[in-house]
Amino acid sequence: MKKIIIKLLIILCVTVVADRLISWIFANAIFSKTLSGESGGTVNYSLKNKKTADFFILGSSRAKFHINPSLLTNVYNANGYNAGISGTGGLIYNNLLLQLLVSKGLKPRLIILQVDVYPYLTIENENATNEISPLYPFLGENDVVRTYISSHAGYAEKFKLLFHTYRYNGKFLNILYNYTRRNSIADNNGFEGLNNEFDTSGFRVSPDLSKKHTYAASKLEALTGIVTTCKNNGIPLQVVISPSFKNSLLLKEGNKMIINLLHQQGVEHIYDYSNVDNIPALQPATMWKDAAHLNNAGAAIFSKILNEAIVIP
Amino acid sequence: MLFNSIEFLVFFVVFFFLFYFLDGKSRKILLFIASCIFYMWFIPVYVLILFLTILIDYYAAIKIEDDHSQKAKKWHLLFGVVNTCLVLFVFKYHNFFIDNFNAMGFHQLENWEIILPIGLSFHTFQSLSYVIEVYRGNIKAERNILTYSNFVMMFPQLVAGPIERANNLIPQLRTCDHKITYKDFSVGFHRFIWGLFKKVMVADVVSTFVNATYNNYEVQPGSMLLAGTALFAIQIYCDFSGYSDMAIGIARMLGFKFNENFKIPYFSKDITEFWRRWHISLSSWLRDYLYISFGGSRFGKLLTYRNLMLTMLIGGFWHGASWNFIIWGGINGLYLSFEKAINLPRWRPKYFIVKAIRVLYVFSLVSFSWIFFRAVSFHQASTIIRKIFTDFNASGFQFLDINIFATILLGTAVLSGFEYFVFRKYSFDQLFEKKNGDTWLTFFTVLFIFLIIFFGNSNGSQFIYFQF
Repeated sequence: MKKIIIKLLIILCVTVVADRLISWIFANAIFSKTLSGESGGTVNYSLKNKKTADFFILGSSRAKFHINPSLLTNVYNANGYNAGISGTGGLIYNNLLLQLLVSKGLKPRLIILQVDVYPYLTIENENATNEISPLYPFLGENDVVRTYISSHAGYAEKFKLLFHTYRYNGKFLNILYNYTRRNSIADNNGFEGLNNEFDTSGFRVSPDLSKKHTYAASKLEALTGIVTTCKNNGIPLQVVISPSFKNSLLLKEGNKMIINLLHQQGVEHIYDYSNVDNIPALQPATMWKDAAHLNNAGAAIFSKILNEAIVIP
Repeated sequence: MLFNSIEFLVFFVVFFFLFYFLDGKSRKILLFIASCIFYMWFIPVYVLILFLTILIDYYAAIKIEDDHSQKAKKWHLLFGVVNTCLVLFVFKYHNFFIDNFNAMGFHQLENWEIILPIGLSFHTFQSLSYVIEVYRGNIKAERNILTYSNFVMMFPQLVAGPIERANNLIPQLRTCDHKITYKDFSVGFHRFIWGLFKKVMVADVVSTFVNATYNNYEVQPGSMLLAGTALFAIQIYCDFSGYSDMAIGIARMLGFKFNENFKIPYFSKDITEFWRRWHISLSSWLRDYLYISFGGSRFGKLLTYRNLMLTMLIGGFWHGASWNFIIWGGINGLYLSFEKAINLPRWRPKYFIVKAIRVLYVFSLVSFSWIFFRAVSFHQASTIIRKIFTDFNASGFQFLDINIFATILLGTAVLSGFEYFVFRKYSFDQLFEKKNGDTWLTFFTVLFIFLIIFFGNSNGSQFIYFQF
């Protein structure tokens, strides 16, 4: 038994020491210099280069691909940054991201938050930590993410996070790749246009959106968190609801609920473009990359519409 | 309880230390209680089904041994086999037959809302082999019900095998007072981590690509579906052999030796060899209790082909109550019959290039059959095959997520490298015995731990074979 315990202790010690060493080297020599990519790189970029941006756009891929800050010329001369993120960029992520940015000294004059009701608000993630994992690399330097983890993550996730290298789980290659191109990043203000046109041959509106939906409590809580952070820091918040091809993501009841909730919390300006029937220019399939995402051409139109609508605080 | 979960880590650490310091009967009781807890973690009440099959076969085996007339022995064998199969039928195949009767226009019978007890097919096959071996006189009936229960329920192999044979495991469980050596623990621990690497870093990462293609098969081009199919071949191998490695590793840490379940099957040079290396505990079960019982290759070519087909069809049906699994078994039966007809296994290639072509031949044929295994319906499988052959559209291929695809390539490269250069030549025991073997194994274990932390899919997904 003695030999077995010694072996386990050796493996444990080597693992812990290597873990701390590797994560420290990786964080300082590589991650901190990475300025692109959705594994924390764009957050680094905004902290390094966008401290003076007048407005920030937060949201999911439907913010990132839909709203081009450079075209919002009426809004502080287009001096803004789009911090939308694909895949996991829901409200929980955005709530923490905003807190992180504010805690690091960013204080924009306006936050434009893109919100989707369906399907993001109607699904309660079993593992909400999946959504915030792009912020794990910041665990070591900021309390915002750590506080969320300690109150929301399960014990398994907390155990895994005892390994500092786990902060880079699933992101290692992505970060490494973006590190190699750190000197050749074009400043597109966070906007990434999509080029292709939607091939609608396989398209069908499958989910029945007329049925009654429940809304994820954790996400509504995060939405309230965003409103509160903005209020506490004196940053005006405005909300955009994006359209979808043939209204495939339109959930009218949910939109009403979310708009009422935001009004109750003092958010005055909500730009509801969820019904594409009201925007003829965005109805053709040539404006879309897929049913949820506008392509470059569609994004240009949508950004211009938004540019006319946004009320400068 | 999944091997790749924190719950299991805590469970096993506590269990290991208790098991180490106990001996004899106390160990057996502890193993029994731990196995119950392990099984009841899924659906507690289903442990009663397990007890039922244990009692049936425990009783049947003793009666077979005690009765002197051959006829009575046969009746008790029948009692054991039929009742064990009945349990399997009720929980696994009932709805399948109802659906098919209904489809044929018979009375519209209702399906049972029932969840398949986890690992049912594995422990029923293990029990069946025990009763048959007692009937054949190859082993003695176990009279201690605790020992027999541990043989069926022992938690490392309970839910997804290996399907252990009584002559290997029961003698180890009978006294249960063996000493757990440092070598046992070390070899078992390293093997467990290797299995965990296969599961978490390869199978679970690959599954994201496979799911993305198979779940949207109607809009994916053939090139994507081909990639998804090839990757599923890797996924299922790493998922299942990873589980087996973990099971064998856990047992070894406790001082038990299980039989091998996989021997790098994708390096096989013909399908016959593949089935000697893939899920060995099942394929040898099918060979010993079905193929040979049908007559094997003793009665001419045509009957040999029939026996191969029948064995593989039943093997397919064992996997799941669906026509897709039967077709999957049938395809493999055809492969084996074809190889038997042209006597392919006798042509042993000498040159590397010929060997490589033969390996590719096996991988392609096996991957093709996996389409039926992975698809949820015949329509899905046939659509995928049609698209691969008629709508390939190479330019429509996408990596989906380049980060995940790069991780898949890395994981597969590490896996293939270790299998080809290390595990093709040496077992874990042999590696341990080599000069500085333990140190090297420790080094690679730490390396695998970091690969898992950096690249593993940490969502703790279930093992594919749990559904069987």
